[in-house]
Amino acid sequence: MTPAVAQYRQAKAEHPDAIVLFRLGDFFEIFGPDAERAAPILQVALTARDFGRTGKLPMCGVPHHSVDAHLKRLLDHGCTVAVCDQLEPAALARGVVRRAVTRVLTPGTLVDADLLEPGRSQRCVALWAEDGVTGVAALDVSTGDCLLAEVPGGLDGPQLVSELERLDAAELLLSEEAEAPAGLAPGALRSRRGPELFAAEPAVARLRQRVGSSELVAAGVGGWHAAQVAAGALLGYCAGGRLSLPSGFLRVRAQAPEETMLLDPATRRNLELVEASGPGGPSLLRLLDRTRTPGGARRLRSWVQGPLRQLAAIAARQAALAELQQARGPRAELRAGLAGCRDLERLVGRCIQRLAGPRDLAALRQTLVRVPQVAEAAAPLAAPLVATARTTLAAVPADLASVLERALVEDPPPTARDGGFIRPGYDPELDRIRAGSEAARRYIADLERVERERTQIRSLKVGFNRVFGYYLEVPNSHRQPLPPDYVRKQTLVGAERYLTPQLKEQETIVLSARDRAAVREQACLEQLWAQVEDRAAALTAAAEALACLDALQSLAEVADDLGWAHPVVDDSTRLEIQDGRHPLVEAALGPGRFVPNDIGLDGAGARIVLLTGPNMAGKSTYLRQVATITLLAHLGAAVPARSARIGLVDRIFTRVGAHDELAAGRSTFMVEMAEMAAILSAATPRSLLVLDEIGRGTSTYDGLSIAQAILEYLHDHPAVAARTVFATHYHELTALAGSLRALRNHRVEVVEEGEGPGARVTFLHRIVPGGADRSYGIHVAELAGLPRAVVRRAQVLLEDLEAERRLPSDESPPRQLALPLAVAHPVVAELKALELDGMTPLAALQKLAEWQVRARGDEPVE
Amino acid sequence: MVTPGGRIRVLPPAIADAIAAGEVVERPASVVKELVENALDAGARQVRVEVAEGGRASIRVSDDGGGMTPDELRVAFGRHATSKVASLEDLSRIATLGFRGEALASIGAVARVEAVSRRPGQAAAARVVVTAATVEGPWPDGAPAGTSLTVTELFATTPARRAFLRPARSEALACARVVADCALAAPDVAVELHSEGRRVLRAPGSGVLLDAVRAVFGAGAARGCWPVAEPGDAFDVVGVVGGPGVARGDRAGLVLFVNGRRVQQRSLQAAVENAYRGLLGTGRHPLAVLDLRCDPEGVDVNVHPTKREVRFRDERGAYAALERACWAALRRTGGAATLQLGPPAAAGASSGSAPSGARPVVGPRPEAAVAARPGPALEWPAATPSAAGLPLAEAAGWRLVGQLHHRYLVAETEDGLALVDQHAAHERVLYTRLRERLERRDTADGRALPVSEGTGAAQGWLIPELVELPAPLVAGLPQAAGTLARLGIVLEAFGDTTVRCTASPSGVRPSDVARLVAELVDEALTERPDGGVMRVHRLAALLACHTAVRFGDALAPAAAERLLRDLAATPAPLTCPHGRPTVIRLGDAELRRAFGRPAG
Ligand SMILES: Nc1ncnc2c1ncn2[C@@H]1O[C@H](COP(=O)(O)OP(=O)(O)OP(=O)(O)O)[C@@H](O)[C@H]1O
Ligand SMILES: Nc1ncnc2c1ncn2[C@@H]1O[C@H](COP(=O)(O)OP(=O)(O)OP(=O)(O)O)[C@@H](O)[C@H]1O
Ligand SMILES: [Mg+2]
Ligand SMILES: [Mg+2]
Repeated sequence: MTPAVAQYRQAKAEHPDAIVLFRLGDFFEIFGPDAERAAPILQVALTARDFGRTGKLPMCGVPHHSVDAHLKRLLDHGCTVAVCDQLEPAALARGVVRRAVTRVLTPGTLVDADLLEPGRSQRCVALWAEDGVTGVAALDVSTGDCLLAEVPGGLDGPQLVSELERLDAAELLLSEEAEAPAGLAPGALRSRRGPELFAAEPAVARLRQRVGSSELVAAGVGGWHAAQVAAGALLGYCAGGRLSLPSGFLRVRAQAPEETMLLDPATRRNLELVEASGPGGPSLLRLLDRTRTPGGARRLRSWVQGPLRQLAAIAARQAALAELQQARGPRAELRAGLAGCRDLERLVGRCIQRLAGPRDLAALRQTLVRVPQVAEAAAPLAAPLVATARTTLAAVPADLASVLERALVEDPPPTARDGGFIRPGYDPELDRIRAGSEAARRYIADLERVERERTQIRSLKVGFNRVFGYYLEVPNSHRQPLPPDYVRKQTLVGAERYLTPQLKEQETIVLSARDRAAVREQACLEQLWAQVEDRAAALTAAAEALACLDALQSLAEVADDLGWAHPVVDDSTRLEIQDGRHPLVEAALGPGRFVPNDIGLDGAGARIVLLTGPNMAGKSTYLRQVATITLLAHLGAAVPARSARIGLVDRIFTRVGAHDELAAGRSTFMVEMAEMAAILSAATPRSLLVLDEIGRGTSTYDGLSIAQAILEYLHDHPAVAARTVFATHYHELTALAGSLRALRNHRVEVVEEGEGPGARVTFLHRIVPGGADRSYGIHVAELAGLPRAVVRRAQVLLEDLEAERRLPSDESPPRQLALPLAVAHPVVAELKALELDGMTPLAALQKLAEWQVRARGDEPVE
Repeated sequence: MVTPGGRIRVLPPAIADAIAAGEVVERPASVVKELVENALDAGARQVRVEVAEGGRASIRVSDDGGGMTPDELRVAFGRHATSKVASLEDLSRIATLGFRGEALASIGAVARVEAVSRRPGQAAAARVVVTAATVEGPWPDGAPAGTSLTVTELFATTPARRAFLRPARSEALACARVVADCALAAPDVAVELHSEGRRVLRAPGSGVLLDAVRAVFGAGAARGCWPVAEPGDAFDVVGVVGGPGVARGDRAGLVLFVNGRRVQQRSLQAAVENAYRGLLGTGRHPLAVLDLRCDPEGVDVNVHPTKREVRFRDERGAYAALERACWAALRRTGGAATLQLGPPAAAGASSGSAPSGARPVVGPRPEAAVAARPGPALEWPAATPSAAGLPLAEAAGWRLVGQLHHRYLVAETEDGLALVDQHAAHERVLYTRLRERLERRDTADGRALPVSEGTGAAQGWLIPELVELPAPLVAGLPQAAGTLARLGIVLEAFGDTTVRCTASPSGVRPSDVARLVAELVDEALTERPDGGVMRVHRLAALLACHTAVRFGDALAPAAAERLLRDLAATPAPLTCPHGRPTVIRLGDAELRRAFGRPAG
């Protein structure tokens, strides 16, 4: 076994579940199963390499200078990574280069500024279920923000996944013994640790050690035992990963369930909240994001993830946004001021964690200089949210900026390692050390000239090697005698090397001064950290204020830019939108192409819209548009409509489109039904339901029956009497308007010219009252480029089918829903018509046998 | 009465003949103008214009106005078809922008037009396609209420005229001007222009003219403007006037309307410029957006085929009203007392908050001005030769007056004075030399330059300097030594974290050597994604910054003179390598304006 192989084996043994990146020369190599897992993620070639006695092992590698980009990819794919680096430059190493694991990275516990995503909180979430509740602790180690929540139900509870998505969990910490939460996306990293980490008493003690119990009570989490256990486990996990979480660093908050809306994963996906469904298209968040700072981007993201549920909170944001939207001048100033601000929240976190380098402090300095400018820009604005933020900014102590100004050089290096970042004149002690070594350095630098003069040896040289430092080198060719203070140290082929006591003395001064200066600069840095920490509360509040202003101006900017209007949000159960648009579809189509549409729902009257219309007409778009506008209204934001009035909604449920979760072992239809079941059990009369083509994933009759049953259930059960928009291709359902009082038929209008093949269908994308009777699916298939032969054949088959179906229902125009399920078996008709009187028992028995055969097998007679 | 074309009818010859006829479509911008004016006439609240290749490839204008029925749509492309004029008397009281019934017909004759329109009450929109003046359709279509017209293949059948079109960029600029004019004419309409898929202009349609001015001319210009609202007997004047601080080198900022119609009338322009007499220097023109409003009967718009000029019943009254309104607004706001410094890029002045009535404050604030620009503001071509990057040959003739606070050089120029940032200027001079040296192949052998005359050359040191460097840099020194030698820096490893520097360019202070060497070595060794393309630039800029005279150094007169001359000889003298300005010039005009003297 070569020494390098031994080093690798040890690193891998220490970090068995991590992908180990092992530095060899200019590359970081990955071996064995790690390589097989990493190569496709990193899109590098998989090769093989001789590996000691083990024989050949798979291997891949990445250049060391681009390792960060590769680390990021691995982390994005939920991998834990251990970086085993060289501890010394290969050129300087004697013997084998020393290597050791220098960094262990997991997606939820990153502190490197380069690896963190600026616009997204990085939450590591621990779960602990006990007594019918699940405690959730979500810690962002880059800021110290620690959010606790308690979710009813165990790890298989229906709400848990929604909560995890709202928290935007980057990593999930679970006990080895716990089951995985139901419905979790397969990609998310689940870190497992032994049950001892979750042992209740030590875990709670670990939390209490850092956060006093009075603080916990004040945060409103005093009674949340399960959440406290989860938090304690999380702290233990971080400590194991050598993360420093000083006591003042953690800021515990409670996630109050009544404040924000819980959106289930399907709804977040359907509305493309933070992730676009197709490649290239923007998500809703991207459309809304005109923030200028990372903190603002994170704030906006959390707003979009958790729409508000309380009228007062919505009204407060509306007031601020309405004012900002009008005040274009001040808004422009505000944006200019924010643009110079850096990530204040994380910078403060790095100072408290003692991770901030000189360049981080310079970024902090730059931000602090901008804070007054931002406050001034906000001065003309009166809305309470803005005014409060401004007051907070005005309260930031001004002294810190000037301390940093005096302490740090203009453009300091990223790390403290090489020194040179403290300005001369800031620290007298440092200035003294620097001055002291200066004389010694001059002595050594000048030595060559001085000694040449003294000895008259023109070829005398001053050199340096690592073994005995500075020396004087005299070639053997010299004739002159050497001064007595020359002490011979080494003999070479053509020369001798000497030292003098004075040279050694000066060398010591230089070397020790270098160390002392480094120590002193480090001390200065620590002082600066401490000064930041002393003001952490004010700075963190300022960071929040900046983030809030930034998120607000972003929403105002978008609303102004896209011509959106502020809705009325009240406690009615109305849902009225005039000239509503789907913001993402509209953006994709370009200006002046999207056809606006209205809706008018009222919980007390017309509560359900049954939407029919051809394929490609715009049903799904309309559904998502209604849901998106409702969601935006609950952010307090303006909406893409001429006007809107929206009664407070407690949850938005969407069932749009079908998708497989084969990886999770569930078929398309199973997923659809599971989502539907969850909706029916959780919806309330305050909810908004947007249901697209329920039942399409199975046979027509099954689907139609399920769809009708669901509609009836939503209509008749007061507990789920939610405002509902229901799109379907089952035109038979339109007949329900006759019996379901609160249901209204709407259709998407088309114009048809001509008949049969060659007919032209034009989509008007307009929603109008009334039901549709055709789907024009074949027309769409033709548009999509299906072979002509297929299209023609489909047309013929359709005509046959329609002719058949038209027969029974032709007589009664307002046709009662004739569910094909209810169509009696032909045997029944025969039974009814049978003349029993003229029949022998044997004939009757034969008839009975024949019917049985037919009923069982449904084969044709004879 | 129901006519086949709905409200649009074809004018009888008697009326048609009374209308000034001529060429309507000269270039893409004329198409844009006609279509946007139609949209405004149709009562639109939003008008979106999209052009591709400056309109040569396609122009699309969509509005949310009253729209047309299928019948109207078909008729609208006929000659003399209009809904805006029905009788000869109508011609004398025109309140709409259109009145000839010519525009769509002319466009349809020289291009392919696809028009889609829906009146708000209708379910379906109608679509027609016009090629070579032949209308096909209408067909039903799905579209929002309003009208959209897409014009392609402009002049495809008349290659001679197509050949006369300017390059796409110039045509795009012309389109932008037209759209900007419309945005300024109708501040209550949201007007957008998308060019090559990028939005280049958006006026919010807030009804506040200053918002439109901000969108068109930028936030800085808007801050330097004051509202004008001057009622009169026959003429009302409303709009904004800009102070001298936002004056321009061309007339693109002088935007005049008569009853909302953009006019390019010399006499009216003269009236405004007259009001500014004494405020602006020669060659400077005001920023002013003004609408002269009067009874439609008092003005004849039917005099020019492209409607560029109008005729007043009382020409002198119009002139006088305009001049008086401007003059009064300028005096009232005290605009004459402000002074604007700085290159045009920093044209935004003031930290004042509300633009209305507030007095602008002196002093450029480049970051604010740049950042505050909502999206890309329109870029007018710079008409003054003061844009950065132009040669400054005339500086060779400047007379040095002296040094200010050991920071700036003051020079007398042909017609005023110049302030030179000595550090920035010297940086530019050194940077230019260093780049030449680095790029010259014949010194690529790694030998140090001889110790020689001017600044920036290597200087050998009697006492070498010892510099602390991180070990990896010292280890990499052999790789970097050649490049550094060409810059005049001679280094050898002298310990695992120390190097000995035996020569460095003159101008480098011993106290600074350590930092400079560390940065240079680091730069020379750092692997960059650009593969070192920018390395020459970065090294030269770095060294120039370290070796240039400091902000605060006293300069001997001879050295200062040399600096001015050297600066004049560099190819891009107006900025330092980091992009900051090196020179601020105050011409006669600015000085006169500042002192309230009439222009000479
Ligand atoms: N209001 C609208 N204005 C303009 N175009 C629209 C509008 N609504 C939809 N469209 C266009 O029509 C396309 C199809 O819309 P959508 O997917 O909503 O149809 P659908 O009725 O749900 O069809 P299917 O029944 O096949 O699911 C959209 O991608 C969009 O391009
Ligand atoms: N965007 C539009 N919205 C509604 N109607 C329009 C629109 N564009 C044109 N029209 C109708 O078409 C008619 C013909 O337009 P056209 O521009 O050719 O003539 P005009 O505007 O009447 O006069 P001019 O030639 O002076 O512009 C108009 O009078 C108007 O009724
Ligand atoms: Mg659909
Ligand atoms: Mg017109």
